[in-house]
Amino acid sequence: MLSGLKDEKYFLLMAYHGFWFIPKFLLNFLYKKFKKNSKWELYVFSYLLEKLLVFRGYPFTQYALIAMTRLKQKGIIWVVKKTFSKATTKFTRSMVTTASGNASIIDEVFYKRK
Amino acid sequence: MQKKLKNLFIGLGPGYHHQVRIMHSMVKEKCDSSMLFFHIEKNVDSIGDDLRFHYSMGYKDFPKTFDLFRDLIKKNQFDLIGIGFMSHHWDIYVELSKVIRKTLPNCKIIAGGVHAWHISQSDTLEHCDYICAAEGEELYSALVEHLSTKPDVSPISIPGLIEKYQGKIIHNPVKTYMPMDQVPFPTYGDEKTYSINAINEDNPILTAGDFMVNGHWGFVHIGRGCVFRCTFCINAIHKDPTVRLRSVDRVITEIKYTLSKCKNIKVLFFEDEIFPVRTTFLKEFCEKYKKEINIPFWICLYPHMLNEEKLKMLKSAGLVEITMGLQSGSQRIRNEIYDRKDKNEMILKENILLSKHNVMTYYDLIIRNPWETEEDLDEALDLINKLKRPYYLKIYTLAYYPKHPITIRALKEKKVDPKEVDATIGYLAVTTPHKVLAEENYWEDSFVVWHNKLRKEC
Repeated sequence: MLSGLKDEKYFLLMAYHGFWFIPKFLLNFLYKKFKKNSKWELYVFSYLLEKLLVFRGYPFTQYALIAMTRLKQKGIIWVVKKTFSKATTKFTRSMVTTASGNASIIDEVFYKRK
Repeated sequence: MQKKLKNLFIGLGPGYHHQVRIMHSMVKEKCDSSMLFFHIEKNVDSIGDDLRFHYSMGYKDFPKTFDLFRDLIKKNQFDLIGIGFMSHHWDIYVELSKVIRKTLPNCKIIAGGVHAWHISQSDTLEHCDYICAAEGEELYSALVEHLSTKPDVSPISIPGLIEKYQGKIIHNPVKTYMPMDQVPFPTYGDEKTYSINAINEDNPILTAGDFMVNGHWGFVHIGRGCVFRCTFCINAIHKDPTVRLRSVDRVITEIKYTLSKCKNIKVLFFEDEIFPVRTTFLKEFCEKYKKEINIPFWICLYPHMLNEEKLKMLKSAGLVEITMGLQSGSQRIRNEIYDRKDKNEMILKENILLSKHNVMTYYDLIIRNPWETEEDLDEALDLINKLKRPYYLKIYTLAYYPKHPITIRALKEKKVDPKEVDATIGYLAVTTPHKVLAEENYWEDSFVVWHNKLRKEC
Protein backbone atom coordinates (compact mmCIF):
# COMPACT_ATOMS: atom_id res chain seq x y z
CA MET A 1 0.00 0.00 0.00
CA LEU A 2 1.40 3.39 -0.94
CA SER A 3 -0.55 5.45 1.53
CA GLY A 4 -3.10 5.07 4.28
CA LEU A 5 -3.09 5.21 7.99
CA LYS A 6 -1.71 2.17 9.79
CA ASP A 7 -2.65 3.14 13.28
CA GLU A 8 -3.37 -0.28 14.73
CA LYS A 9 -4.13 1.08 18.22
CA TYR A 10 -7.43 2.45 16.97
CA PHE A 11 -8.40 -0.88 15.43
CA LEU A 12 -7.52 -2.78 18.61
CA LEU A 13 -9.56 -0.49 20.83
CA MET A 14 -12.50 -0.59 18.40
CA ALA A 15 -12.33 -4.40 18.34
CA TYR A 16 -12.38 -4.59 22.15
CA HIS A 17 -15.75 -2.85 22.11
CA GLY A 18 -17.11 -5.91 20.30
CA PHE A 19 -16.15 -8.28 23.15
CA TRP A 20 -19.20 -8.99 25.27
CA PHE A 21 -17.10 -10.13 28.21
CA ILE A 22 -15.06 -6.95 28.59
CA PRO A 23 -16.97 -4.74 31.07
CA LYS A 24 -18.15 -1.42 29.70
CA PHE A 25 -16.49 0.55 32.53
CA LEU A 26 -13.13 -0.94 31.55
CA LEU A 27 -13.67 0.02 27.89
CA ASN A 28 -14.65 3.52 28.93
CA PHE A 29 -11.50 3.77 31.03
CA LEU A 30 -9.30 2.63 28.11
CA TYR A 31 -11.16 4.96 25.74
CA LYS A 32 -10.74 8.02 28.00
CA LYS A 33 -7.05 7.32 28.53
CA PHE A 34 -6.58 6.77 24.82
CA LYS A 35 -8.24 10.09 24.02
CA LYS A 36 -5.89 11.77 26.49
CA ASN A 37 -3.00 10.26 24.57
CA SER A 38 -2.02 7.83 27.30
CA LYS A 39 -1.56 4.49 25.56
CA TRP A 40 0.23 2.27 28.07
CA GLU A 41 -3.06 1.14 29.64
CA LEU A 42 -4.15 -0.19 26.27
CA TYR A 43 -0.82 -1.99 25.78
CA VAL A 44 -1.01 -3.71 29.16
CA PHE A 45 -4.62 -4.68 28.58
CA SER A 46 -3.95 -6.06 25.10
CA TYR A 47 -1.00 -8.08 26.44
CA LEU A 48 -3.17 -9.70 29.12
CA LEU A 49 -6.05 -10.30 26.74
CA GLU A 50 -3.72 -11.96 24.29
CA LYS A 51 -2.56 -14.45 26.92
CA LEU A 52 -6.21 -15.29 27.61
CA LEU A 53 -7.04 -15.68 23.90
CA VAL A 54 -4.05 -17.93 23.29
CA PHE A 55 -4.92 -20.11 26.28
CA ARG A 56 -8.56 -20.31 25.17
CA GLY A 57 -7.39 -21.38 21.71
CA TYR A 58 -5.25 -24.36 22.78
CA PRO A 59 -6.78 -27.64 21.51
CA PHE A 60 -6.60 -29.06 25.04
CA THR A 61 -8.55 -26.09 26.46
CA GLN A 62 -11.09 -26.31 23.63
CA TYR A 63 -11.68 -30.05 24.12
CA ALA A 64 -11.94 -29.62 27.89
CA LEU A 65 -14.50 -26.82 27.54
CA ILE A 66 -16.52 -28.74 24.96
CA ALA A 67 -16.53 -31.79 27.23
CA MET A 68 -17.67 -29.67 30.19
CA THR A 69 -20.47 -28.06 28.18
CA ARG A 70 -21.72 -31.41 26.89
CA LEU A 71 -21.41 -32.90 30.37
CA LYS A 72 -23.84 -30.27 31.63
CA GLN A 73 -26.14 -30.63 28.61
CA LYS A 74 -26.16 -34.37 27.98
CA GLY A 75 -24.51 -36.23 30.87
CA ILE A 76 -21.47 -38.41 31.42
CA ILE A 77 -22.61 -41.43 29.35
CA TRP A 78 -23.09 -39.30 26.26
CA VAL A 79 -19.64 -37.68 26.71
CA VAL A 80 -17.89 -41.06 27.11
CA LYS A 81 -19.67 -42.51 24.06
CA LYS A 82 -18.88 -39.44 21.94
CA THR A 83 -15.21 -39.43 22.95
CA PHE A 84 -14.93 -43.12 22.07
CA SER A 85 -16.73 -42.63 18.74
CA LYS A 86 -14.51 -39.64 17.80
CA ALA A 87 -11.37 -41.62 18.58
CA THR A 88 -12.45 -44.67 16.55
CA THR A 89 -13.68 -42.57 13.59
CA LYS A 90 -10.35 -40.83 13.43
CA PHE A 91 -8.54 -44.17 13.52
CA THR A 92 -10.68 -45.90 10.85
CA ARG A 93 -10.66 -42.85 8.58
CA SER A 94 -6.87 -42.75 8.53
CA MET A 95 -6.89 -46.50 7.77
CA VAL A 96 -9.13 -45.99 4.72
CA THR A 97 -7.15 -43.14 3.25
CA THR A 98 -3.79 -44.79 3.69
CA ALA A 99 -4.61 -48.44 3.04
CA SER A 100 -6.72 -48.03 -0.09
CA GLY A 101 -6.52 -45.85 -3.15
CA ASN A 102 -9.00 -43.22 -4.30
CA ALA A 103 -10.90 -45.68 -6.47
CA SER A 104 -11.89 -47.85 -3.56
CA ILE A 105 -12.87 -44.80 -1.48
CA ILE A 106 -15.11 -43.66 -4.32
CA ASP A 107 -16.61 -47.16 -4.58
CA GLU A 108 -17.21 -47.19 -0.88
CA VAL A 109 -18.94 -43.80 -0.96
CA PHE A 110 -21.08 -44.77 -3.94
CA TYR A 111 -21.90 -48.10 -2.33
CA LYS A 112 -23.03 -46.33 0.85
CA ARG A 113 -25.20 -44.01 -1.21
CA LYS A 114 -27.02 -46.92 -2.83
CA MET B 1 -33.55 -44.82 -25.45
CA GLN B 2 -31.26 -41.81 -25.58
CA LYS B 3 -28.64 -41.69 -22.83
CA LYS B 4 -29.22 -38.78 -20.46
CA LEU B 5 -26.58 -36.06 -20.37
CA LYS B 6 -24.45 -36.32 -17.24
CA ASN B 7 -24.06 -33.01 -15.50
CA LEU B 8 -22.08 -31.93 -12.45
CA PHE B 9 -22.40 -28.67 -10.55
CA ILE B 10 -19.39 -27.70 -8.47
CA GLY B 11 -19.73 -25.33 -5.55
CA LEU B 12 -16.43 -24.02 -4.20
CA GLY B 13 -15.72 -23.21 -0.58
CA PRO B 14 -17.51 -23.94 2.65
CA GLY B 15 -20.85 -22.20 2.00
CA TYR B 16 -24.39 -23.51 1.73
CA HIS B 17 -24.26 -23.20 -2.11
CA HIS B 18 -27.76 -21.86 -2.59
CA GLN B 19 -27.39 -21.10 -6.30
CA VAL B 20 -25.90 -24.52 -7.11
CA ARG B 21 -28.87 -26.14 -5.38
CA ILE B 22 -31.40 -24.04 -7.31
CA MET B 23 -29.72 -24.78 -10.65
CA HIS B 24 -29.70 -28.48 -9.76
CA SER B 25 -33.44 -28.30 -9.08
CA MET B 26 -33.93 -26.65 -12.46
CA VAL B 27 -32.21 -29.36 -14.51
CA LYS B 28 -32.43 -32.59 -12.51
CA GLU B 29 -35.45 -33.85 -14.47
CA LYS B 30 -33.79 -33.10 -17.79
CA CYS B 31 -30.44 -34.77 -17.19
CA ASP B 32 -28.52 -36.96 -14.80
CA SER B 33 -27.33 -34.18 -12.52
CA SER B 34 -25.06 -34.27 -9.44
CA MET B 35 -23.67 -31.68 -7.05
CA LEU B 36 -20.16 -31.58 -5.64
CA PHE B 37 -19.10 -29.22 -2.86
CA PHE B 38 -15.34 -28.85 -3.08
CA HIS B 39 -13.58 -27.24 -0.18
CA ILE B 40 -9.89 -26.85 0.45
CA GLU B 41 -8.89 -24.95 3.55
CA LYS B 42 -5.30 -23.84 3.93
CA ASN B 43 -3.58 -23.26 7.25
CA VAL B 44 -3.14 -19.56 7.92
CA ASP B 45 0.60 -19.06 8.20
CA SER B 46 0.58 -15.43 9.22
CA ILE B 47 -1.03 -12.06 8.70
CA GLY B 48 1.19 -9.73 6.71
CA ASP B 49 1.77 -6.00 6.96
CA ASP B 50 -1.05 -5.66 4.46
CA LEU B 51 -3.38 -7.22 7.07
CA ARG B 52 -4.19 -10.11 4.76
CA PHE B 53 -3.88 -13.81 5.38
CA HIS B 54 -0.70 -15.45 4.13
CA TYR B 55 -0.53 -19.18 3.68
CA SER B 56 2.41 -21.53 3.69
CA MET B 57 0.44 -23.80 1.33
CA GLY B 58 -0.90 -23.26 -2.18
CA TYR B 59 -3.49 -25.31 -4.07
CA LYS B 60 -0.61 -27.13 -5.75
CA ASP B 61 0.16 -28.62 -2.34
CA PHE B 62 -3.08 -30.63 -2.50
CA PRO B 63 -2.29 -33.26 -5.19
CA LYS B 64 -4.20 -36.06 -3.47
CA THR B 65 -7.29 -33.86 -3.24
CA PHE B 66 -7.23 -33.05 -6.94
CA ASP B 67 -6.52 -36.72 -7.73
CA LEU B 68 -9.63 -37.66 -5.82
CA PHE B 69 -11.60 -35.12 -7.85
CA ARG B 70 -10.06 -36.56 -11.04
CA ASP B 71 -11.08 -40.10 -10.10
CA LEU B 72 -14.58 -38.97 -9.22
CA ILE B 73 -15.22 -37.30 -12.58
CA LYS B 74 -13.50 -40.11 -14.47
CA LYS B 75 -15.73 -42.70 -12.87
CA ASN B 76 -18.84 -40.68 -13.67
CA GLN B 77 -17.85 -39.54 -17.19
CA PHE B 78 -19.66 -36.22 -16.98
CA ASP B 79 -20.65 -34.44 -20.22
CA LEU B 80 -21.11 -30.99 -18.70
CA ILE B 81 -19.60 -29.41 -15.60
CA GLY B 82 -20.69 -26.07 -14.19
CA ILE B 83 -18.37 -24.21 -11.83
CA GLY B 84 -19.63 -21.14 -10.05
CA PHE B 85 -16.87 -19.23 -8.33
CA MET B 86 -16.04 -16.00 -6.55
CA SER B 87 -12.98 -13.86 -7.22
CA HIS B 88 -10.89 -15.35 -4.43
CA HIS B 89 -11.53 -18.86 -5.79
CA TRP B 90 -9.86 -18.06 -9.11
CA ASP B 91 -6.83 -20.30 -8.52
CA ILE B 92 -8.93 -23.27 -7.58
CA TYR B 93 -11.19 -22.78 -10.60
CA VAL B 94 -8.12 -22.88 -12.87
CA GLU B 95 -6.79 -26.05 -11.19
CA LEU B 96 -10.13 -27.85 -11.44
CA SER B 97 -10.57 -26.86 -15.08
CA LYS B 98 -7.13 -28.25 -15.92
CA VAL B 99 -8.01 -31.56 -14.27
CA ILE B 100 -11.32 -31.73 -16.17
CA ARG B 101 -9.68 -30.92 -19.53
CA LYS B 102 -7.06 -33.61 -19.01
CA THR B 103 -9.42 -36.29 -17.70
CA LEU B 104 -12.54 -35.67 -19.81
CA PRO B 105 -11.47 -33.83 -22.99
CA ASN B 106 -15.00 -33.91 -24.43
CA CYS B 107 -16.68 -32.60 -21.32
CA LYS B 108 -18.01 -29.05 -21.69
CA ILE B 109 -17.22 -26.59 -18.90
CA ILE B 110 -19.34 -23.58 -18.06
CA ALA B 111 -18.19 -20.98 -15.54
CA GLY B 112 -20.49 -18.67 -13.63
CA GLY B 113 -20.28 -15.76 -11.24
CA VAL B 114 -19.53 -12.07 -11.59
CA HIS B 115 -15.77 -12.63 -11.70
CA ALA B 116 -16.21 -14.91 -14.70
CA TRP B 117 -18.42 -12.64 -16.77
CA HIS B 118 -17.38 -9.16 -15.69
CA ILE B 119 -13.96 -9.05 -14.10
CA SER B 120 -11.88 -11.54 -15.98
CA GLN B 121 -13.89 -12.76 -18.92
CA SER B 122 -11.17 -13.61 -21.43
CA ASP B 123 -8.95 -15.28 -18.82
CA THR B 124 -11.92 -17.30 -17.59
CA LEU B 125 -12.75 -18.41 -21.14
CA GLU B 126 -9.24 -19.83 -21.53
CA HIS B 127 -10.23 -22.53 -19.05
CA CYS B 128 -13.83 -23.21 -20.07
CA ASP B 129 -16.20 -23.40 -23.05
CA TYR B 130 -18.93 -21.05 -21.90
CA ILE B 131 -19.58 -18.34 -19.36
CA CYS B 132 -22.96 -17.78 -17.79
CA ALA B 133 -23.41 -13.99 -17.81
CA ALA B 134 -26.94 -13.91 -16.46
CA GLU B 135 -29.09 -15.46 -13.78
CA GLY B 136 -28.33 -19.08 -14.52
CA GLU B 137 -31.54 -21.09 -14.15
CA GLU B 138 -33.06 -20.73 -17.61
CA LEU B 139 -29.69 -20.44 -19.31
CA TYR B 140 -28.37 -23.67 -17.83
CA SER B 141 -31.61 -25.46 -18.53
CA ALA B 142 -31.47 -24.39 -22.19
CA LEU B 143 -27.81 -25.43 -22.38
CA VAL B 144 -28.63 -28.90 -21.05
CA GLU B 145 -31.42 -29.24 -23.63
CA HIS B 146 -29.13 -28.11 -26.42
CA LEU B 147 -26.25 -30.41 -25.49
CA SER B 148 -28.67 -33.33 -25.06
CA THR B 149 -30.29 -32.93 -28.46
CA LYS B 150 -27.89 -31.19 -30.84
CA PRO B 151 -24.44 -31.14 -29.24
CA ASP B 152 -22.64 -30.45 -32.52
CA VAL B 153 -24.59 -27.32 -33.45
CA SER B 154 -22.91 -24.02 -32.64
CA PRO B 155 -23.11 -21.18 -31.84
CA ILE B 156 -25.68 -22.08 -29.24
CA SER B 157 -27.05 -18.53 -28.91
CA ILE B 158 -28.76 -18.84 -25.55
CA PRO B 159 -29.60 -15.46 -23.97
CA GLY B 160 -26.90 -14.48 -21.47
CA LEU B 161 -24.37 -17.08 -22.67
CA ILE B 162 -20.84 -16.08 -23.62
CA GLU B 163 -19.35 -18.63 -26.01
CA LYS B 164 -16.43 -19.11 -28.34
CA TYR B 165 -17.24 -19.49 -32.02
CA GLN B 166 -14.81 -19.52 -34.94
CA GLY B 167 -12.09 -17.80 -32.93
CA LYS B 168 -14.41 -15.05 -31.71
CA ILE B 169 -16.19 -14.48 -28.42
CA ILE B 170 -19.94 -14.14 -28.79
CA HIS B 171 -22.02 -12.36 -26.14
CA ASN B 172 -25.67 -13.31 -26.38
CA PRO B 173 -27.80 -10.48 -24.95
CA VAL B 174 -29.58 -11.17 -21.68
CA LYS B 175 -33.37 -11.43 -21.87
CA THR B 176 -35.88 -10.61 -19.14
CA TYR B 177 -35.46 -12.99 -16.22
CA MET B 178 -38.11 -15.46 -15.15
CA PRO B 179 -40.52 -14.23 -12.44
CA MET B 180 -39.02 -14.81 -9.02
CA ASP B 181 -41.92 -16.98 -7.90
CA GLN B 182 -41.13 -19.41 -10.70
CA VAL B 183 -37.54 -19.95 -9.57
CA PRO B 184 -37.43 -23.47 -8.12
CA PHE B 185 -36.57 -24.22 -4.51
CA PRO B 186 -32.98 -25.25 -3.75
CA THR B 187 -32.48 -29.01 -3.56
CA TYR B 188 -31.65 -30.54 -0.18
CA GLY B 189 -30.90 -34.16 0.56
CA ASP B 190 -30.46 -35.30 -3.03
CA GLU B 191 -28.67 -38.63 -3.17
CA LYS B 192 -26.34 -37.37 -5.88
CA THR B 193 -24.63 -34.88 -3.60
CA TYR B 194 -20.95 -35.22 -2.82
CA SER B 195 -18.40 -33.28 -0.82
CA ILE B 196 -14.63 -33.30 -1.03
CA ASN B 197 -13.02 -31.63 1.96
CA ALA B 198 -9.34 -31.14 2.62
CA ILE B 199 -8.84 -29.13 5.77
CA ASN B 200 -5.35 -27.76 6.38
CA GLU B 201 -3.64 -30.83 4.90
CA ASP B 202 -3.74 -32.88 1.72
CA ASN B 203 -5.77 -35.64 3.28
CA PRO B 204 -9.07 -35.36 1.41
CA ILE B 205 -12.33 -36.85 2.59
CA LEU B 206 -15.02 -37.69 0.07
CA THR B 207 -18.53 -38.02 1.41
CA ALA B 208 -21.82 -38.78 -0.26
CA GLY B 209 -24.96 -37.13 0.99
CA ASP B 210 -25.92 -33.60 1.76
CA PHE B 211 -24.25 -32.03 4.80
CA MET B 212 -27.08 -29.51 5.09
CA VAL B 213 -29.59 -32.22 5.97
CA ASN B 214 -28.15 -32.63 9.45
CA GLY B 215 -27.22 -28.97 9.92
CA HIS B 216 -28.68 -26.67 12.54
CA TRP B 217 -28.69 -23.62 10.25
CA GLY B 218 -30.97 -22.99 7.29
CA PHE B 219 -30.54 -20.36 4.60
CA VAL B 220 -33.21 -18.50 2.67
CA HIS B 221 -33.21 -15.76 0.04
CA ILE B 222 -36.38 -13.71 -0.23
CA GLY B 223 -35.24 -11.98 -3.39
CA ARG B 224 -32.24 -10.94 -5.45
CA GLY B 225 -30.31 -7.72 -5.93
CA CYS B 226 -29.51 -4.60 -3.96
CA VAL B 227 -30.52 -0.99 -4.57
CA PHE B 228 -27.34 0.43 -3.06
CA ARG B 229 -24.08 0.93 -4.91
CA CYS B 230 -21.40 0.87 -2.21
CA THR B 231 -18.10 1.32 -3.99
CA PHE B 232 -16.38 -1.73 -2.45
CA CYS B 233 -19.25 -4.08 -3.35
CA ILE B 234 -19.79 -6.08 -6.50
CA ASN B 235 -23.37 -4.79 -6.67
CA ALA B 236 -21.92 -1.39 -7.62
CA ILE B 237 -21.14 -2.62 -11.13
CA HIS B 238 -24.83 -2.77 -12.04
CA LYS B 239 -25.87 0.35 -13.93
CA ASP B 240 -29.48 0.02 -12.90
CA PRO B 241 -29.62 -1.70 -9.52
CA THR B 242 -32.95 -3.33 -8.79
CA VAL B 243 -34.34 -5.76 -6.26
CA ARG B 244 -36.66 -8.60 -7.26
CA LEU B 245 -38.68 -10.14 -4.47
CA ARG B 246 -40.68 -13.33 -4.14
CA SER B 247 -44.14 -13.38 -2.64
CA VAL B 248 -44.47 -14.06 1.07
CA ASP B 249 -46.42 -17.28 0.37
CA ARG B 250 -43.68 -18.58 -1.90
CA VAL B 251 -41.00 -17.86 0.72
CA ILE B 252 -43.02 -19.55 3.48
CA THR B 253 -43.60 -22.59 1.24
CA GLU B 254 -39.86 -22.84 0.55
CA ILE B 255 -39.05 -22.64 4.26
CA LYS B 256 -41.53 -25.44 4.97
CA TYR B 257 -39.95 -27.55 2.23
CA THR B 258 -36.46 -26.84 3.63
CA LEU B 259 -37.54 -27.76 7.15
CA SER B 260 -39.09 -30.98 5.88
CA LYS B 261 -35.73 -31.98 4.35
CA CYS B 262 -33.40 -30.56 7.00
CA LYS B 263 -35.09 -31.55 10.22
CA ASN B 264 -32.44 -30.29 12.63
CA ILE B 265 -32.61 -26.61 11.64
CA LYS B 266 -32.77 -24.42 14.72
CA VAL B 267 -32.22 -20.98 13.17
CA LEU B 268 -32.82 -19.47 9.73
CA PHE B 269 -30.58 -16.96 8.01
CA PHE B 270 -32.17 -14.64 5.49
CA GLU B 271 -29.25 -14.06 3.20
CA ASP B 272 -30.60 -11.15 1.15
CA GLU B 273 -28.17 -8.24 0.88
CA ILE B 274 -30.91 -6.12 2.46
CA PHE B 275 -33.90 -7.77 4.11
CA PRO B 276 -37.08 -6.21 2.69
CA VAL B 277 -38.60 -3.95 5.35
CA ARG B 278 -41.31 -2.26 3.29
CA THR B 279 -44.24 -2.07 5.72
CA THR B 280 -46.78 -3.99 3.61
CA PHE B 281 -44.34 -6.85 2.94
CA LEU B 282 -43.04 -6.93 6.48
CA LYS B 283 -46.48 -7.07 8.07
CA GLU B 284 -47.62 -9.99 5.92
CA PHE B 285 -44.27 -11.79 6.27
CA CYS B 286 -44.06 -11.47 10.05
CA GLU B 287 -47.63 -12.62 10.59
CA LYS B 288 -47.30 -15.68 8.38
CA TYR B 289 -43.78 -16.53 9.57
CA LYS B 290 -44.85 -16.48 13.20
CA LYS B 291 -47.95 -18.55 12.52
CA GLU B 292 -46.46 -21.14 10.17
CA ILE B 293 -42.70 -21.32 10.87
CA ASN B 294 -41.93 -19.80 14.27
CA ILE B 295 -38.21 -20.46 14.61
CA PRO B 296 -35.54 -17.81 15.34
CA PHE B 297 -34.03 -15.99 12.37
CA TRP B 298 -31.22 -13.62 11.37
CA ILE B 299 -31.32 -10.87 8.74
CA CYS B 300 -28.95 -8.39 7.03
CA LEU B 301 -29.81 -4.70 6.90
CA TYR B 302 -28.50 -1.36 5.77
CA PRO B 303 -28.27 1.16 8.66
CA HIS B 304 -31.31 3.17 9.69
CA MET B 305 -33.97 1.26 7.79
CA LEU B 306 -35.79 0.33 10.98
CA ASN B 307 -38.23 2.11 13.20
CA GLU B 308 -39.69 0.82 16.45
CA GLU B 309 -42.87 -0.49 14.83
CA LYS B 310 -40.93 -2.54 12.27
CA LEU B 311 -38.51 -3.81 14.88
CA LYS B 312 -41.37 -4.95 17.11
CA MET B 313 -42.92 -6.84 14.20
CA LEU B 314 -39.63 -8.56 13.41
CA LYS B 315 -38.88 -9.32 17.03
CA SER B 316 -42.29 -10.84 17.61
CA ALA B 317 -41.81 -13.05 14.53
CA GLY B 318 -38.53 -14.42 15.95
CA LEU B 319 -35.74 -12.02 14.97
CA VAL B 320 -32.65 -12.67 17.10
CA GLU B 321 -29.80 -11.07 15.20
CA ILE B 322 -29.12 -8.43 12.56
CA THR B 323 -26.01 -8.07 10.44
CA MET B 324 -25.52 -4.39 9.75
CA GLY B 325 -22.98 -2.96 7.33
CA LEU B 326 -21.57 -0.04 9.32
CA GLN B 327 -18.31 -0.18 7.27
CA SER B 328 -16.78 2.86 8.96
CA GLY B 329 -17.56 4.92 12.02
CA SER B 330 -16.60 7.99 10.05
CA GLN B 331 -19.54 9.56 8.27
CA ARG B 332 -17.19 11.28 5.81
CA ILE B 333 -15.65 7.97 4.77
CA ARG B 334 -19.04 6.34 4.33
CA ASN B 335 -20.49 9.25 2.37
CA GLU B 336 -17.52 10.33 0.26
CA ILE B 337 -15.56 7.12 -0.24
CA TYR B 338 -18.11 4.31 0.02
CA ASP B 339 -21.01 6.22 -1.56
CA ARG B 340 -23.34 5.45 1.33
CA LYS B 341 -25.80 8.04 2.55
CA ASP B 342 -26.23 7.16 6.22
CA LYS B 343 -25.58 9.43 9.20
CA ASN B 344 -23.91 8.69 12.56
CA GLU B 345 -26.74 10.34 14.44
CA MET B 346 -29.27 7.98 12.87
CA ILE B 347 -27.06 4.94 13.44
CA LEU B 348 -26.93 5.73 17.14
CA LYS B 349 -30.71 6.22 17.32
CA GLU B 350 -31.26 2.88 15.65
CA ASN B 351 -28.71 1.23 17.95
CA ILE B 352 -30.66 2.46 20.98
CA LEU B 353 -33.78 0.81 19.58
CA LEU B 354 -31.95 -2.46 18.88
CA SER B 355 -30.49 -2.44 22.36
CA LYS B 356 -33.88 -1.69 23.91
CA HIS B 357 -35.37 -4.73 22.17
CA ASN B 358 -32.29 -6.83 22.92
CA VAL B 359 -31.55 -7.68 19.28
CA MET B 360 -27.95 -8.82 18.85
CA THR B 361 -26.38 -6.67 16.13
CA TYR B 362 -23.32 -7.61 14.20
CA TYR B 363 -21.63 -4.53 12.76
CA ASP B 364 -19.31 -4.90 9.78
CA LEU B 365 -16.29 -2.61 9.83
CA ILE B 366 -13.71 -2.08 7.11
CA ILE B 367 -10.24 -1.02 8.24
CA ARG B 368 -7.02 0.07 6.54
CA ASN B 369 -8.77 2.47 4.22
CA PRO B 370 -6.09 4.71 2.66
CA TRP B 371 -8.44 7.72 2.61
CA GLU B 372 -8.95 7.52 6.37
CA THR B 373 -7.26 10.27 8.42
CA GLU B 374 -6.62 10.39 12.15
CA GLU B 375 -9.73 12.56 12.53
CA ASP B 376 -11.77 9.88 10.78
CA LEU B 377 -10.45 7.20 13.11
CA ASP B 378 -11.17 9.40 16.13
CA GLU B 379 -14.74 9.87 14.91
CA ALA B 380 -15.07 6.13 14.32
CA LEU B 381 -13.81 5.30 17.80
CA ASP B 382 -16.20 7.84 19.33
CA LEU B 383 -19.14 6.28 17.51
CA ILE B 384 -18.25 2.74 18.52
CA ASN B 385 -17.76 3.78 22.13
CA LYS B 386 -21.29 5.18 22.11
CA LEU B 387 -22.90 1.99 20.75
CA LYS B 388 -25.06 0.12 23.23
CA ARG B 389 -24.85 -3.61 23.71
CA PRO B 390 -25.62 -6.30 22.64
CA TYR B 391 -23.45 -6.18 19.55
CA TYR B 392 -20.25 -7.60 18.17
CA LEU B 393 -17.98 -6.62 15.31
CA LYS B 394 -16.74 -8.22 12.14
CA ILE B 395 -13.62 -6.47 10.96
CA TYR B 396 -12.49 -6.63 7.34
CA THR B 397 -9.33 -5.32 5.73
CA LEU B 398 -10.24 -3.26 2.68
CA ALA B 399 -9.67 -5.50 -0.34
CA TYR B 400 -9.05 -4.20 -3.83
CA TYR B 401 -11.08 -6.41 -6.12
CA PRO B 402 -10.45 -5.79 -9.81
CA LYS B 403 -12.87 -3.46 -11.63
CA HIS B 404 -14.73 -2.43 -8.48
CA PRO B 405 -15.36 1.35 -8.22
CA ILE B 406 -13.19 1.79 -5.13
CA THR B 407 -10.29 -0.02 -6.80
CA ILE B 408 -10.57 2.11 -9.92
CA ARG B 409 -10.48 5.24 -7.76
CA ALA B 410 -7.60 4.00 -5.59
CA LEU B 411 -5.53 3.21 -8.66
CA LYS B 412 -6.32 6.59 -10.20
CA GLU B 413 -5.37 8.43 -7.03
CA LYS B 414 -2.33 6.18 -6.50
CA LYS B 415 -3.61 5.01 -3.13
CA VAL B 416 -2.82 1.39 -3.88
CA ASP B 417 -0.04 -0.51 -5.56
CA PRO B 418 -1.46 -2.21 -8.70
CA LYS B 419 0.10 -5.46 -7.43
CA GLU B 420 -2.39 -5.41 -4.57
CA VAL B 421 -5.33 -5.44 -6.95
CA ASP B 422 -5.59 -9.18 -6.79
CA ALA B 423 -8.61 -11.01 -5.49
CA THR B 424 -6.59 -14.07 -4.54
CA ILE B 425 -4.55 -12.22 -1.92
CA GLY B 426 -5.82 -13.59 1.39
CA TYR B 427 -9.16 -12.04 2.18
CA LEU B 428 -9.22 -11.16 5.85
CA ALA B 429 -12.28 -10.94 8.04
CA VAL B 430 -12.15 -11.50 11.79
CA THR B 431 -15.00 -11.56 14.26
CA THR B 432 -14.91 -10.66 17.91
CA PRO B 433 -16.18 -13.59 19.98
CA HIS B 434 -19.91 -14.20 19.79
CA LYS B 435 -21.45 -14.94 23.18
CA VAL B 436 -23.81 -17.70 22.06
CA LEU B 437 -21.27 -19.35 19.77
CA ALA B 438 -18.53 -19.16 22.39
CA GLU B 439 -20.88 -20.81 24.89
CA GLU B 440 -21.19 -23.61 22.36
CA ASN B 441 -17.37 -23.58 22.13
CA TYR B 442 -17.12 -22.23 18.62
CA TRP B 443 -13.85 -20.31 18.69
CA GLU B 444 -12.36 -18.39 15.79
CA ASP B 445 -8.59 -18.82 15.78
CA SER B 446 -7.99 -16.17 13.13
CA PHE B 447 -8.99 -13.42 15.57
CA VAL B 448 -6.13 -14.45 17.86
CA VAL B 449 -3.62 -14.27 14.97
CA TRP B 450 -5.03 -10.88 13.96
CA HIS B 451 -4.88 -9.57 17.52
CA ASN B 452 -1.29 -10.71 17.89
CA LYS B 453 -0.30 -8.97 14.64
CA LEU B 454 -1.92 -5.68 15.60
CA ARG B 455 -0.54 -5.73 19.12
CA LYS B 456 2.99 -6.18 17.83
CA GLU B 457 2.52 -3.28 15.40
CA CYS B 458 1.38 -0.90 18.17
